Amino acid sequence: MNWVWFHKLASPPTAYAFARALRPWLLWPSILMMLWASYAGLFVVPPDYQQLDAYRIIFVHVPAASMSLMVYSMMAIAAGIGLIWHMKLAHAVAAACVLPGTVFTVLALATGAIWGKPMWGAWWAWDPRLTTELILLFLYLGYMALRASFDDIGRADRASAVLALVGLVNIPIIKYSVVWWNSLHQGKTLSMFGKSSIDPTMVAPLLVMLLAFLMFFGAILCDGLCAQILRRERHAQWLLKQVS
Amino acid sequence: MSMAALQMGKYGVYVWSCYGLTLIGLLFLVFAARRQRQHEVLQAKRRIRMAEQSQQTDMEVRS
Amino acid sequence: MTPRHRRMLFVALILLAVSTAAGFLLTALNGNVQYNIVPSDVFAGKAPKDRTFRLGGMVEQGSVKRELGNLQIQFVITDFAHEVTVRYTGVLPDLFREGQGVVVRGKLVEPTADLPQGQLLMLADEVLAKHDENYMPPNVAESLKKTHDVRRMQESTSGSATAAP
Repeated sequence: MNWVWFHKLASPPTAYAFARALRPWLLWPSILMMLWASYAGLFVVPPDYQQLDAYRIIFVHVPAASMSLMVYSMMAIAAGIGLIWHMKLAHAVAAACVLPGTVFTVLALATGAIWGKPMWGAWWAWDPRLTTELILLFLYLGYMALRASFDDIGRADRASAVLALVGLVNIPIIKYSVVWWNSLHQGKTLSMFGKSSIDPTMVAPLLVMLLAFLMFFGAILCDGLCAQILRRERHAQWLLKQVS
Repeated sequence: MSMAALQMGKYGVYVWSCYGLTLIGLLFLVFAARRQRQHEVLQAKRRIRMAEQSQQTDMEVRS
Repeated sequence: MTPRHRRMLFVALILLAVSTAAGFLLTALNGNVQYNIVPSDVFAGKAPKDRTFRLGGMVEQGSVKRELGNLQIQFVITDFAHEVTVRYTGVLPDLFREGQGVVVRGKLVEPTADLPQGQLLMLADEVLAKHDENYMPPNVAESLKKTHDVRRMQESTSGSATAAP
């Protein structure tokens, strides 16, 4: 297999230029999609037969929650690649994941609490799904703190990569917590294969919002990655050209 | 759009605060990520300037 | 073994060790990870005595009794095999209704005389409503219910038709 393109893309100057060029193509479409999906989710789709209008929270809660898992998986995989192949760019990607991941987790927990109060009758419950998602937040925060505690970037990369890999085990536990145990949280709504349990008239804003969040994360990652690359390439000549 | 559509029965406060929080979170991400990058660009520029200056002083000392 | 292979092995070992540990931990914790138990567990003797626990199930159709004048309410939780009667004083969540999944927290107490023989009584201090993962507009739910009723009617009529000689 020819890996030349990969090494080329993985070289810091190319990756930097690529991320700079890609960012607007992800950010603006994602904003437009979010605006449409919010409008449709709030005003167009019909209310739920049981939860009435309160279920409209699903259109922000589910994308935030699913991104919180996706971003962590990506962070851990990037960290693993960086650890094995000593690839600086992979560590840079992992480092750029932590901030959006933390924000998505906080949003998932907060919107979940606001949804839980009127429907379940409680802001919070020590339910398996909620508890494991809270652990995910602590993993993100721990990763951030661990990174900040090293002056040397190389050592910070290696130590935080181990933490990210250890925390990866939490991801399937969060995902299947509603299947394995009795819980207050309901089961999954969307299904990649097989029938989703949300009515077809309500599903479009949810799918569009999921894609929009994914692209939005991509745009944020582009900026974060550029910052990480600049920090790691202290003395490289190419900086002169890119920056000035 | 009528007031009733905005109020969403008795759930308006919950629904709107969720969307508001999400908006705040996403805006924060946009600005925080951009600020990080701009900060690193400034740092890099400063490093380059300092390198040039020290080169110049080197040359002055030598001449 | 090259250094890269050694690092691969290191990463693989981390993942293996952590997932094994998590597996053991979760198996050991299994009972405690459950958010709630169901009436059948209570009848199987799995409910803690003299201690509060969470009981989950369906509010039985037609079992909700409200005392006029105060907030006390009595209803039956069922898992379609066993039943527990619950008494609760306080505000109920919006989704609470007959046929709805709920999780109540409380303690088993001595059944009062007005309950039928063998019925267990729980005094609850918290009632949470569960909702399922089905989201649909009211008219879809309505038509679903109708087709369900029609099918049940057809089944029962066809059943009686075959039963008749």
